[in-house]
Amino acid sequence: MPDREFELYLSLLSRLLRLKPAQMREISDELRDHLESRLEELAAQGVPRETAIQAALEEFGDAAELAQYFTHVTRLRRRRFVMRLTAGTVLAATASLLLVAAFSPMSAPTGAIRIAQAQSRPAPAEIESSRLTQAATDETEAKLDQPITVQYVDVPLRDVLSSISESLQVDILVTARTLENAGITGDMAKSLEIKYSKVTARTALELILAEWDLSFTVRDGLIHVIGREDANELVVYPIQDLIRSPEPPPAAPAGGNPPRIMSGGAGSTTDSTGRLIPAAQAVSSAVGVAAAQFNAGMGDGAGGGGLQTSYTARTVSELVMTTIAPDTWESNGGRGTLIEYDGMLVVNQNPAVHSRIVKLLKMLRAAKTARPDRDYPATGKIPTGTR
Amino acid sequence: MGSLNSDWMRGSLDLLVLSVLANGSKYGYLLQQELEQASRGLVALQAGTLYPLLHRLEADKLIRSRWDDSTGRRRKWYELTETGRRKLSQQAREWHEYAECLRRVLAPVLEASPRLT
Repeated sequence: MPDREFELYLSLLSRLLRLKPAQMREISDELRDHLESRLEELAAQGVPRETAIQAALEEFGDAAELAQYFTHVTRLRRRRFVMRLTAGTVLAATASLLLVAAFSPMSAPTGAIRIAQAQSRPAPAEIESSRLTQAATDETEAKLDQPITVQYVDVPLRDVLSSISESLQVDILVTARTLENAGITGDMAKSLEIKYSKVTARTALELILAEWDLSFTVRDGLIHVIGREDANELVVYPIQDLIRSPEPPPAAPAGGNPPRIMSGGAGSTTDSTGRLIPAAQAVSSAVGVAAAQFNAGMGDGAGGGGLQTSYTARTVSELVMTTIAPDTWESNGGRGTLIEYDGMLVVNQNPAVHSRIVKLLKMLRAAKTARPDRDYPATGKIPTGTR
Repeated sequence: MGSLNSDWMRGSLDLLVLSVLANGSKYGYLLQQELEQASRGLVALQAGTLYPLLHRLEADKLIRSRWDDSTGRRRKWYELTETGRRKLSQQAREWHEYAECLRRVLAPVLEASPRLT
């Protein structure tokens, strides 16, 4: 019976090895030799065969774990190939992407204007067409939110990435240029000891890549490893709706009184130049003006907006910088920047922070609309006391 | 002294395995046994550590392998390549210098405090 256990272990291991059959057989044969040798020695010491088999298998440890180690080592060559391919196609791709970026209108997927950094975009040609869909990206994002347990001791970066790629079942692409820019050469070995349990794959990957001064972003369903500097994307968040009152619901126009009434009574407010404009137009016109100014040439980023507007815009930006990844902002020695610009936040940050900003703003909007009228009585009282 | 500091061992495992291969080719089990003896039982490599390590060294072309089918069981033998031999002697020298340096620096500490057993 224990002999069967022995075979079961090896066949389980073989099945867990995600390798070509020939490689599977070699590893299986090698380990069989080791186990048999161990059994012979234990038998020579007078250990009963059944006990010996148990002992030998215990020494070997968990088949799944062992299989994982082997799979990583053996897949190195394939990974190298992928990396070389990526480096080769990136130049041609950059040219075509610059063109695409030049002709495509700015898209606003999350209510924000995204300015693509074309030089770090991947080559479309290297990605299977079936993965070029939003669904693939959503799937990958979902996988990144799964809990994961990782443990690495003195493992080269490429092995770490292969292992994560294996367990998430998502391809991770690294370009030679990214590594070169991050100063990573050779086998990318680094003496580190990483053990994270019960974190999301996203967090684990962020922490691990940070060890090498790298980051990642999800595009077309693939995880792209990028330099931390490349990781920054410029995103403009319109927050006029947050720093002024929400638009009045059609059923109850009186409830929509903006909190900062200076003159003109209900239904009106002043714009940044002091002109009196109807409340319904206030938000949209401010967005239009600011966006036009922004597109015209970014300006110096300072000022803009009235005194009260910039006060509340500042509150929002302080909220962002103190609650989301505080270490990553320039004021704390990081690389992220945030500028208030006429009721908009112009943020240069990595994708992880951007996604958290989107989340925070969404929460603020939800909280704002959920606020009952008693918080903003029609008397025009300002809870923050800015008057 | 029960076991070695795992941090120190981690940094020297490749070197230990290469050094055991320096006096002739070995198969995994034999290598494991000889390493254990040579280290007086202090370095007991698990198979789960040893084999992936051997495969990595082979991928890095520091060792090479061949299969022996002459006995009833297939057996994989490993031996040093020229590159592996060069790396071994270079790293052995470096480690020796490092150990000497540590010994000199630590000597006053050891003299000052009696050994606890």
